[in-house]
Amino acid sequence: MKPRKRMMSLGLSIANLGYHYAAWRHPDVPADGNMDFRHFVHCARLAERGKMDGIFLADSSAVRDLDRPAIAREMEHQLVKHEPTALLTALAAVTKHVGLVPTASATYNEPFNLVRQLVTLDRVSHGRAGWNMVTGFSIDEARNFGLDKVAPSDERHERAAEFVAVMRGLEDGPIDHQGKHFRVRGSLGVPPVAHRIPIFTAGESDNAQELAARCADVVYGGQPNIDDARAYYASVKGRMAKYGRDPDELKMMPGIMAFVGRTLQEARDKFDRMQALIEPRLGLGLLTVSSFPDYTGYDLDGPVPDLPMPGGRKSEFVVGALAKAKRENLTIRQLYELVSGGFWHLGMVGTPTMIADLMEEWFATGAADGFNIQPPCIPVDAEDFIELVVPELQRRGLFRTEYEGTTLSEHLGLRRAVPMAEVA
Amino acid sequence: MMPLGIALSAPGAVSDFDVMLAAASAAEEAGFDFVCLPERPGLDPIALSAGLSAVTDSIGLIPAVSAPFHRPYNLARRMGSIDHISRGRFGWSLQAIPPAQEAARFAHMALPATDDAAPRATELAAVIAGLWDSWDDDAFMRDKASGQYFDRAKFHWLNHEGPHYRVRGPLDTARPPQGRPPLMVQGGTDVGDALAAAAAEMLEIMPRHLADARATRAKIGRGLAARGRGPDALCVLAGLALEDAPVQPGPLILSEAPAMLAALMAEWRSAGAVDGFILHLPDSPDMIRAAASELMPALRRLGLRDAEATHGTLRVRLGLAAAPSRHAA
Repeated sequence: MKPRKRMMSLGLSIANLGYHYAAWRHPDVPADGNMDFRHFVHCARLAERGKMDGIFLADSSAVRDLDRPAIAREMEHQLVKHEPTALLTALAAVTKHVGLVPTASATYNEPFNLVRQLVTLDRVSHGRAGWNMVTGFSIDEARNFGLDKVAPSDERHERAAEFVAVMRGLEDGPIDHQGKHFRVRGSLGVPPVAHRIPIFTAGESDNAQELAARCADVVYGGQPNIDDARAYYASVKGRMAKYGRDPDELKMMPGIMAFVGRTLQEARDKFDRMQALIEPRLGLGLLTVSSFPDYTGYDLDGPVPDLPMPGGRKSEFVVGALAKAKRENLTIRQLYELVSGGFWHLGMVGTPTMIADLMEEWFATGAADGFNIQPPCIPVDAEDFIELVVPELQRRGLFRTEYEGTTLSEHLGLRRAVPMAEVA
Repeated sequence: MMPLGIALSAPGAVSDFDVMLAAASAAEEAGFDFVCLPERPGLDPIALSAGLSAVTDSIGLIPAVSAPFHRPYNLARRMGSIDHISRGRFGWSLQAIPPAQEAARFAHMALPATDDAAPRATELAAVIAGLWDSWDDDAFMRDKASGQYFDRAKFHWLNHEGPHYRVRGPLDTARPPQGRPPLMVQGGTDVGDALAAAAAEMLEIMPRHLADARATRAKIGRGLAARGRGPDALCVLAGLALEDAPVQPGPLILSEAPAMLAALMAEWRSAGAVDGFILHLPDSPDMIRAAASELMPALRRLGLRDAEATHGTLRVRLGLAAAPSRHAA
């Protein structure tokens, strides 16, 4: 078999009308799109036009932070949405090529139910299903499932690992599983297929990285710069050997949020237009939700005051952003614009060449195997990415020009997974 | 009009979506009001209904759901989504006590005791209906000029704390187009009848003959009255099967010619024993077309079906009243 040239994996994230907090106010974004099936059909077909490996729906099983009045959730568009497996199974019936990756919680689902839904998605789509496995960190989710607090990370990740063992077993046939969290006897009742449903996951904690190294096929990263991304890439892949896995069996796909313009000026204008749509109350709330202090009542155009951190919680992102604010004499308004721009992940304002250069550097130097594209506004910025950046990547031989396989596994270039029994 | 649906009931496992799509499309073209997707081995009925919702236009979709193995929040959002995608064509069939073979897949979970099964499933249905009312129909103004997406006065915490479920809400899905997609229950057991009287808007019964159906209807009526519900709150449907169309056991098997079958349906309906029927048929487009080809014209002649193709939500097709939010003025 001739060795295949290493190609980027690209996924398109289509949740929430875009990753910019004011996305829904963009004149060409359908404000009601997140409940409108036709909007998602458009997005899915767009992804197929761009030869994307898959479309992805981020999710949590709750409306978050509605009980915190400092957070202006009534100015946001992410409150109501479709349930991802239902939406993607519907989209499976009207698409041909693109992979379909719903987020679902291993904490708040039963393995037989979720595996059965994923296998149904896989059969409706003829092999295009994936699963973005989450374990749920939000108290708002816990309260929708009868709990007063979120289960400890160790427990959630232990349950998730057992969940995956049940899933891999059921994909192969009848099982009689007896573990700490589940007892599952029986079979799905459908003939097995040659591929496995790829498992996507994310997270920087030790628990999350171990789980990824043990059983994930794709890891979404959230690193804002190449040094952090390289360190994360090496850290996750470095843990795989002890589970008997080769580093190539796992694709690292950090998120990228790009404001693309044919010229740099066009890209900057696009970015500035969106930033101007963030109302101050929304901006201040976003700082609160991102674990910054509450600056309500202070002069928006004055310097960022020194306030104690809320709840003693210090994320590296918050500390870094506050240090930058001090260094560069940012105002409160500039700080919330920085945060609300969505650049907690890799972000860029630039031309197709600049963005392709950046992606190529990450891809070629051990920071990424591909990217999860997180358009600021959907569908408009997804269209621009696919029309402007994807052709540039294709010219450079970094991305496919036609679909070659039919399953999501084939799109991702995954090797056949080692049976779970051999790594447990 | 007389509601008339089909239940795809071939014995064996469901492993091919395209077979289900061909059957549902045939049922839609033949003018049936809804298709039931019973619990069978193989593909997931709710997920199948999601797939079918994108590639059918007018037919109702009613998957089976086993109450003990699902969390209400997951069900409410999944099913609410499908009601949105299908534009109001979703319903669900809830089973309070699943068979042992199914329970083995969830052996780490406790099954309800027989006398607790109906109250527990009733509570599940109430939580789901409550979650669907989380957002008022006009909660979202989505005013691009002012930046106001929704009105804080128009969402509702559920704060449900019952014997079996604790759910805070609100649901992260807009109110379904039908408000409350109809809940179907299988009668014929004390548990099923109790759940139907408390929470269902569709009841499938399996009578052996007209007198049997009338007696069942009378009993159901007493159950509804005891719950403070009127007789019109529940659409009663009799399950029937046809000779030479092999299906899973349960419904009465009839060998009448289509004209006689239509006459039987008219008689049962005018006797007040049932509101409509569910034909149990194999997952075969040809058999579905064959069953409908003479039956539908005969029903039209009797004035039981419209000559025009029927449209509207599943509630409308069943003759159920609109379901306004509990928070509506």
